[in-house]
Amino acid sequence: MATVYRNLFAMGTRFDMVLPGIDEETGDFVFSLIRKEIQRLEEMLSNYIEFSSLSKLNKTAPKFPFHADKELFELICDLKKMYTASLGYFDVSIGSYKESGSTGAGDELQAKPFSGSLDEIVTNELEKSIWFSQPGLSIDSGGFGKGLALENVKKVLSDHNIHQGFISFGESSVLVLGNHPFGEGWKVSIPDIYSSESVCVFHLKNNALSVSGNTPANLVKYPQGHIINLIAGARVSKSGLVCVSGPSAFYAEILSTALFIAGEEEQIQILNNFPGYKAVRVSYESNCKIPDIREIEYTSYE
Amino acid sequence: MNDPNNNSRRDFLKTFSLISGSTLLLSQMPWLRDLHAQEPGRRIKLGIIGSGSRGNLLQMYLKDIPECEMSCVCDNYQPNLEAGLAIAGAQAKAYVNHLEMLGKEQLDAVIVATPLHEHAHIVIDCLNAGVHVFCEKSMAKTIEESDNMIKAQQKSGKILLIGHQRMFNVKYQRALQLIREDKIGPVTHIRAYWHRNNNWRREIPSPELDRKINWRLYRDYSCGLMTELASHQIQVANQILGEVPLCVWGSGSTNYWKDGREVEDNVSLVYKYPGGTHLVYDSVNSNKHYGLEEQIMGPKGTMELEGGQMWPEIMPPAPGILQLINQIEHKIFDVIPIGGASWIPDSAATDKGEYIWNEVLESDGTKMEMEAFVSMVRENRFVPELLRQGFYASVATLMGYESIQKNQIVNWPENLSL
Repeated sequence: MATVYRNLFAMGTRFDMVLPGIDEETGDFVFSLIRKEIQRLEEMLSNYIEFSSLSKLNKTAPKFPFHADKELFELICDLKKMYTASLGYFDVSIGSYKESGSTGAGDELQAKPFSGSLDEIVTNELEKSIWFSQPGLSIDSGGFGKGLALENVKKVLSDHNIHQGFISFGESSVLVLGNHPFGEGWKVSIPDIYSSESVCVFHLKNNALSVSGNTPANLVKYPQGHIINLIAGARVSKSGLVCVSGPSAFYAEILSTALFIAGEEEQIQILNNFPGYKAVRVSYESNCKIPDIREIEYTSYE
Repeated sequence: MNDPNNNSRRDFLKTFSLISGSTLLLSQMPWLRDLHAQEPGRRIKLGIIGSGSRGNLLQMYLKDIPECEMSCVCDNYQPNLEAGLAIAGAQAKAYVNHLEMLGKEQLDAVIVATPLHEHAHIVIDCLNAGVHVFCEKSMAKTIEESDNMIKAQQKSGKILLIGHQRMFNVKYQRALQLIREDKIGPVTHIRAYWHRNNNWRREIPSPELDRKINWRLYRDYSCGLMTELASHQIQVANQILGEVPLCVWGSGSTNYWKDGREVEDNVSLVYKYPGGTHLVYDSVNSNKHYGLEEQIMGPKGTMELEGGQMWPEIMPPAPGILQLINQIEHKIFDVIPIGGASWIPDSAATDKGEYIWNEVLESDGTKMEMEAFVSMVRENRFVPELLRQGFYASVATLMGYESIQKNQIVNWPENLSL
């Protein structure tokens, strides 16, 4: 059996898939299904596609209740729960703030203190409708799209009896299945930016890993950072990463963003709301060439 | 002193040195190998025959070449003649008949930029008079005329260069080099198109001048979209495939600009080349959304020559993924790095492909083509491959036109002189 490698460009980044132990024909077939699924999700969730479901929702819901299909409705309900569980640090209504200013450096952002629940997104379970009670509100899929896609990819692979593989979306969201062909699980490392060493290694099996943050190199290009803290009303410009592993790529992606924004005490609180998820914080602050690495939870990730 | 001529020479030499760095590239383009930086010396005497808009553009480039002098201009339409003389300079003499000009002037070479139906007889007259000729594309209005031009060149031994400027466009020649280096695998398909959304008419001072000025729209003078646009892209396809087409089948009609024109406002053709590769071509005058492009496809990638980009069929693996693939190949279980120093926020990633040539080009090749022609004339150096490209492009173009007119498949003709 060969090792099948396939990739594609989607959701503004690259998707790479390595599946050991299957033949090329099966690989091609499964990849065609995965490509369709990712494209379907992108057509559902991209704000850059005028007629995506999310674009229609953002356009309609500030005026009238938007009747969503079951998949989108349940997703929005889930995202609302994530807002509460992340103490407001994961907030899909971030799209409103991107629209009000540009995304470039020096944006004037309005603070939005944690309210306990995302009540301005009003959902009606009976009618499967969504309404935005706050004018100008807009949902952005940037913080969860790749994780959701990886979860759906996992299902496609499982449906076709493929239980071994390494799948990366943008190298910031990773899904691993089963074992490396020559070892137990998969060892995923976060490389040191100053040397060829690793700053930490995650030994994963049937797990996902998500990385969020700013490297010093990113901050040269985007000095204000690309992640927004709505609670503070500011971009997060600290230099460092948060890496989260856990069973779901969707939740891992949400958590890594929320934990990167949150303060140290809140990080523990948030993690407690996500049993089974582990996080490591890597800091490049203090002008120190050796990153400050801390586990947020004292659970071994080995 | 700021001499614009020196700037021109510098640009040419810079461009030439950039593209001539590869022996493989030179092996594909012998005409570039034959070009040398010109030492100051004798200026060649040029006559301009046909000084309409295209002729004027060629003159503008020639004006910047110190090794040539435009000593006379010939055009039988007074406004064009005056425009040509204005560019050529005070020393230029005016003619309305090319035979008279050939008889009176001691010319090294001429530039022929007349309407298509005039190409053949003028070029043949000039070659017979012992003058080197640059003739704008397309070569002639019929295959027989094109072949007669070849015979005249062969008899005279003079230079005949047909104006397919993409042969002198760095981007196109770099693409050709990459194709020969197997960047996209063997070329299995070419799709080309030229779409415009206008009536293709020029303003006329009075109605009786319509056919003279808008000659591109009438069958007595032109073969329409085929000779005026398609010929460029057919030349590119021929050069890339290194072949001439076996046959062509095409169709055309006038489905939008029903304004009395005689040529089609839309054409669609399929050219079949040896080995079963096809060039699928279309040109329309009623939509410009897709513009102009030549798409070269192979099992390993796609090139778009006008846009100057290429896309591999499979993106190369990200560094971490490549490391993983190598580990598996070598039966090693090791760490897989992600999100490293090179990692950038996802929103910054795009699928822009790779650039074939990432510098802004000053000209589409026409300027370099003019410089090359002057160089050839000064050195009395005929480059047969260049004429072959022009001739074969003309034959293939006119096969397509014939196929459209007769509504039947047309095969590559036998017994051509070249």
